[in-house]
Amino acid sequence: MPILSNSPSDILRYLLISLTEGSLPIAGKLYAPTDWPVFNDVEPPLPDNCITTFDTTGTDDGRLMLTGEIVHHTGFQIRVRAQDKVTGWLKANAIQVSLTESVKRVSLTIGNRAYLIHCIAKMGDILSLGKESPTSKRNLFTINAVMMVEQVS
Amino acid sequence: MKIEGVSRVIEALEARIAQAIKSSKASVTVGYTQNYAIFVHEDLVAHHTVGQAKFLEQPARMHQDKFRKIVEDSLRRKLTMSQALLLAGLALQRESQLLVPIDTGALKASAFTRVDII
Repeated sequence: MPILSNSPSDILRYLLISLTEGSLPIAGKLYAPTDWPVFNDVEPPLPDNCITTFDTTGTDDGRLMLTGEIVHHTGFQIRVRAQDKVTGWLKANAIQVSLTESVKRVSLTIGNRAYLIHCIAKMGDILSLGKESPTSKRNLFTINAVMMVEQVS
Repeated sequence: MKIEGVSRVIEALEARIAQAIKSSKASVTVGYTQNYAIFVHEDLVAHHTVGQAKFLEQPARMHQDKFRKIVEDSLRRKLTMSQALLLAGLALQRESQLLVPIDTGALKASAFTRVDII
């Protein structure tokens, strides 16, 4: 199992930004609805349209015969909050398509650390959670999957 | 040398293969019937005094080997695939109900394991 300097959900956050599905949050900035800042672990009250990544339970998928290393896929959740259902669905769908079609041995650099994302697998359907709260107009969607990520430097 | 009855043996084997294919297509669903179950399951931000989010997905992933062993042992005991999967599904339901958040208890009580007829 690889040792990672950043949590998988943090790596995923930068992956989404590099795939242009969202932007890096800037403290105090007033975001446009199309900015889609990507947060990790904590979903702030504003802006309406935002993406948050979380770590979830992963799965062990066998062992490499030569080295004995256990191949572990780390789990993650992407949570999309949007001003309305259509906007949220479109964004969640775009993320799903982007991760499914564009991630195949993708290199990613965070600060002075480099990661190799081998694949994203076992992606489920987009789950619509409905409104954020009974009085809110904002809709929530989640996507769950696992990924194989390796730190290369 | 003449061998008789080969066609009957082949027919019997084909019938067994058809039965095995039918049996192996069994599936079992484990879930919760409360309509807010998915919200509680997926909301990783919410704090729960008892239980946690991902109360079904986490044990399903963590105990994969255990469930696989239940199915293997059951098939070895000549149970059908449906029965084997049902036993594994009930084990998952038990593990899940240990993690499900409890407020009124309605969510925990809505857990079910269902054999799907294909």
